[in-house]
Amino acid sequence: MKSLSRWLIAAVATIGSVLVVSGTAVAAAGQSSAVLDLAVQTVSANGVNLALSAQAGSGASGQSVTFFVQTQEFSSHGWMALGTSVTNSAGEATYTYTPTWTGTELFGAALGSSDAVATPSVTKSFQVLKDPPGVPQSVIEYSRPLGTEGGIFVKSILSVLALVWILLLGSLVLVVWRMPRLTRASVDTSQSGRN
Amino acid sequence: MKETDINESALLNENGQRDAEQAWAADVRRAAIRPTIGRASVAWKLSVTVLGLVVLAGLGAWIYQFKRGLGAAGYNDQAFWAVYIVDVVTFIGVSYGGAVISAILRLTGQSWRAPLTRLAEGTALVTVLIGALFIFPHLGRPERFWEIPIYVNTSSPLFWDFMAISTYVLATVIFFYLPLVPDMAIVNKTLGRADRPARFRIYKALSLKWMGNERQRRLLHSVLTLISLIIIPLAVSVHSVLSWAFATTSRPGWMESVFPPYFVIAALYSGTALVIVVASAFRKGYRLERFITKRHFVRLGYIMAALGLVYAYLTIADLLSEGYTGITSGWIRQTIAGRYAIPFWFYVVFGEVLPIALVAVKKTRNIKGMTVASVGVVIALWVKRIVIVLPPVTQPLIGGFWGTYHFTWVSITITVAGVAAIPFGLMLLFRFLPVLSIDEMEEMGELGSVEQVSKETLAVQKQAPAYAYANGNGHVNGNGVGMPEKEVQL
Repeated sequence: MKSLSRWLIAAVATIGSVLVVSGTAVAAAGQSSAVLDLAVQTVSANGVNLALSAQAGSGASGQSVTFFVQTQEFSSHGWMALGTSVTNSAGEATYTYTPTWTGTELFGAALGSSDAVATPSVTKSFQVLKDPPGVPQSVIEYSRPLGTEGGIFVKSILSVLALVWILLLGSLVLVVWRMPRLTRASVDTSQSGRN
Repeated sequence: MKETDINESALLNENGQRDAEQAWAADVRRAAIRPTIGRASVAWKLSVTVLGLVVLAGLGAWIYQFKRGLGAAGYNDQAFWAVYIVDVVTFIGVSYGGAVISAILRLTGQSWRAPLTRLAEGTALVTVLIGALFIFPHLGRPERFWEIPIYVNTSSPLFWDFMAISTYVLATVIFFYLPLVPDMAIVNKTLGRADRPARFRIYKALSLKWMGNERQRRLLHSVLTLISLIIIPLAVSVHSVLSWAFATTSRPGWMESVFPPYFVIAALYSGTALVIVVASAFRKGYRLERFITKRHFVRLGYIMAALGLVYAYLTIADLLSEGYTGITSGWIRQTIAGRYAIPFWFYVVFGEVLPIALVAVKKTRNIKGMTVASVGVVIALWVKRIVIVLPPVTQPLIGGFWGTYHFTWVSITITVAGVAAIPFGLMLLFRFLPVLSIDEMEEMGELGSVEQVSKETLAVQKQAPAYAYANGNGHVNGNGVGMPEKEVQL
């Protein structure tokens, strides 16, 4: 039993020794051609801050770049703008972000301010591990809460809601469609009765 | 308003006989339709003008806030949620109350509901629309509101709120419209094409060619039963979703499993109170004393008191469970004995002790007593929601400095405008639609709708059948003429 626990600790330590799993920047489907090259660096004093950098080319200084992270908490997989940064003379814009959950993070970037862009043009995945090496105690303690289960829950609730909409609108349509016909039927019946 | 404005012949049946049932029907129609097709009184015009100006002032304050930011309303880094979310919860909450009370009474076949349903459903409709509009001043960037349905984030409680409120608005509109169908036919018949052709056409379209035959009644009844069945769990679940906007936030005082029932009961409690206040105001202003009687107020008062006791229990449960552990109880101390003690004890006195005492004491169990109790409940529950929002939000999570929130003229003006929008909206609504549910009241008859007679009176009526008779539907109707005005002692 002791050897098993030692093995587990060693395994966790080994996994924890890797903070970054590199990813390749790819252009998101439907986006304009990728003009940015997104990189995720691990240079930070406390070991948990991440430096995101986007390279827009040497001639593109003074341009706004918006950085994104894909939200996955409790079912969502939408893009959330982290903030906007301006490219320097080398055409590079940087942004510091502290992940709060373990697991795969998907970052993105797009040219333009957060008012102008809602989705990234380039993305890059990043693996956040618990207690990386050289860090006494990480603030990254938890895996994402109910990512899949939450998704099932929310989708179930939304399905029930859709049913409610169908019932409500169906009831209204039924009354609006049927009521004049019942009047007509009643008039026809009374007329045929007289005849 | 002239009595001759109403086409008298349309108030009578084919034979033109003014028997007791017809007299009741004619009185109901006259009272319900008079404010709709008669000339508006000076008092009505003055009231609508004043209320409209207050609403406009609120709109102006919101435009000012839009230009200056939420700081103009007293918001700051710590008090990031304050008065407007309280207004959203309050207005939507009272709406649920009106709709659920009406739905429960409809489902349980309470005939005395008939004079109240239109007012209750109208209140539900107007307040849910005002509550939904209060989301805009609550948002820091309201011009981005359209992004909620476009860039869907299913994990956000704000998206859930959006879905829940929009569903509830749809249900409320349908729940308000369907019982109107027969009344639209009656108003249309009374109005006549020549008087106001545009209105005539609208009423005609809304009446769906209603004739009132058996099959039409059966269809309408079935659909209304279904909608009533839907609207009760919908209101409960929707207000639970509204509470999750707080309860899913990792903040002491908000992250509580008791919040959904806490919010639902508060909604029903304040909603019943608002129905009483509205019924009292319209009874007086629209001369509905004959139709909305002491018994209606007392029965609603009983429902309100029962809900008030449940709400008191939930308040204690909320404070006790977190206060007992003492881990995150700073906000509780501030609520009970600190900076928020005055509003909290205001709620205890005017939202619990006073209304329940007014219902409990026989002497005050009358229209005036119930109205005073209800006004207390509506105001105190708004104050209570301030106490639910502000102490947790201003509690420091790091360090020991409490945040502060100060009301500004902007937040006060917008909130007062929301309050003024309720009578404003209702008065405009009932300028175009009948204030009483005519068809239902006629169907129930006088005895069913008003129930002014006691058992003793019924016994007398059995001996003297001129006072009461059974109509074709099996309802016992009073003739309204020479009937004793004695009310049942409760």
